[in-house]
Amino acid sequence: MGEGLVEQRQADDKASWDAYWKVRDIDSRGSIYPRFRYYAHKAFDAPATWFRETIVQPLNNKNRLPYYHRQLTRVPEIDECGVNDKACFYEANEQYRLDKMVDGFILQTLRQRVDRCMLYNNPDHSPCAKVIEDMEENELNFFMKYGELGGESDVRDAYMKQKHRMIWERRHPEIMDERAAKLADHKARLANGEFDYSFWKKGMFYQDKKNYEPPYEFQMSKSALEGDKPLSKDWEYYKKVSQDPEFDKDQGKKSDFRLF
Amino acid sequence: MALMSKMAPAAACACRSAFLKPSTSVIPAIRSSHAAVFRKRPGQLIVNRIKDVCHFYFIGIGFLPVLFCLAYNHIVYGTCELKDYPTEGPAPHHWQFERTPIRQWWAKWFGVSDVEHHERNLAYYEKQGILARWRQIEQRVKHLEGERWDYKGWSYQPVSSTWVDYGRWHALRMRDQYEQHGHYAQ
Repeated sequence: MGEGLVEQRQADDKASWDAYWKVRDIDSRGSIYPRFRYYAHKAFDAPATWFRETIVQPLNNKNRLPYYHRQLTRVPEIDECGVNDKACFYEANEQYRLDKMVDGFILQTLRQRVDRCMLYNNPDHSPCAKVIEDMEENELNFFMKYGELGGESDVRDAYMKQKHRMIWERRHPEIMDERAAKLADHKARLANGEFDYSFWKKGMFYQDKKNYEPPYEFQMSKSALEGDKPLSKDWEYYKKVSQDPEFDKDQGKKSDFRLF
Repeated sequence: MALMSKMAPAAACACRSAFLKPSTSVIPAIRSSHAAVFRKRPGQLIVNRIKDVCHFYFIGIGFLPVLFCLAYNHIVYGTCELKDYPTEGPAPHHWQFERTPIRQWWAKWFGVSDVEHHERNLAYYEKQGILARWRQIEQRVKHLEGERWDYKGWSYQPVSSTWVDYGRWHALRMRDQYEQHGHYAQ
């Protein structure tokens, strides 16, 4: 029909409100105290509803202001800028900042979905495999672009990080092939109904190799923004690892923790 | 209440049932009594003034105007409606990207257009780039002068294009707008 969404929503609200009072009217018939309570509540509601429908809503519909969702044109990225072109760098940096903000919001939304799904399906989280998979994949991608750069990074830092990663990937094709094979295998098993959370994170935070610190002499050896940390400060451990191939083959890279 | 007053010895005598007492011994007894005639209390002027000041500044010109503005806004404007980007006419103003009427009003009259801010920054960086290129060319010119022993003459004075333009502007103003004679009342 020709009505707008606002008029439809107002009509729906009015219909539901009338239905509510109709139910209360029918429900309180033939009784004494509930009927008088209905009259009392109706006495409070009638003037407010009359004022809203007679005075407020026509004024709102007449004076309603529009607001728009901003549409920003894409500008050249940092790789198209000249070395000394500060204006181009400024534009690319603004675009990088807004992209980072939007990506952060997307990741926040995905995390909220995971939280709500796990809360709803507690303690069996198997229905949440899909949303957990989406969240973990996007979190990894976010980390690949923005992670470990700090809060004051600009577009040049992200550009250099990407360049260094590309160089590293080119120098280690065997590792990249192994990773691609593992990812394909993980996707196949996920499609088959088997979800392995340890593919993304090896376990709980205390088993996460990236953040692992031994319980004794607990002092942070590196900033939390840095990369991996050593598994242990015990030099004899690393000596055994180098000498004995059978000693601690996992080296903290696997875990027995199961999500479900 | 006159009957109950401690300052009325006759009434006091009458209250003490049937026994009559001399008035010379009743009044001192009443005045030496434990009951208070005037009860002392702390002053209230400062406290009342503090209450008045708080009531005026926090409520009279603090909370009530805000409440009035909010009520007026909710009665007259309500909420903003999200619309598609307009395809005809001018582009939306910067305040029309806010999603409540009050924020739109504030952005319209007191806010700064973020697009204008962005353009201003771009213009500044572009100008800095131009100046940097000028400086680069000037340095290269000086370097080549040194290399080729092609220095400017000993009597050369540098010419500033800015001052040349200003001198021309001043000359034109003198030619066109200068009043040679005064207009005196005769």
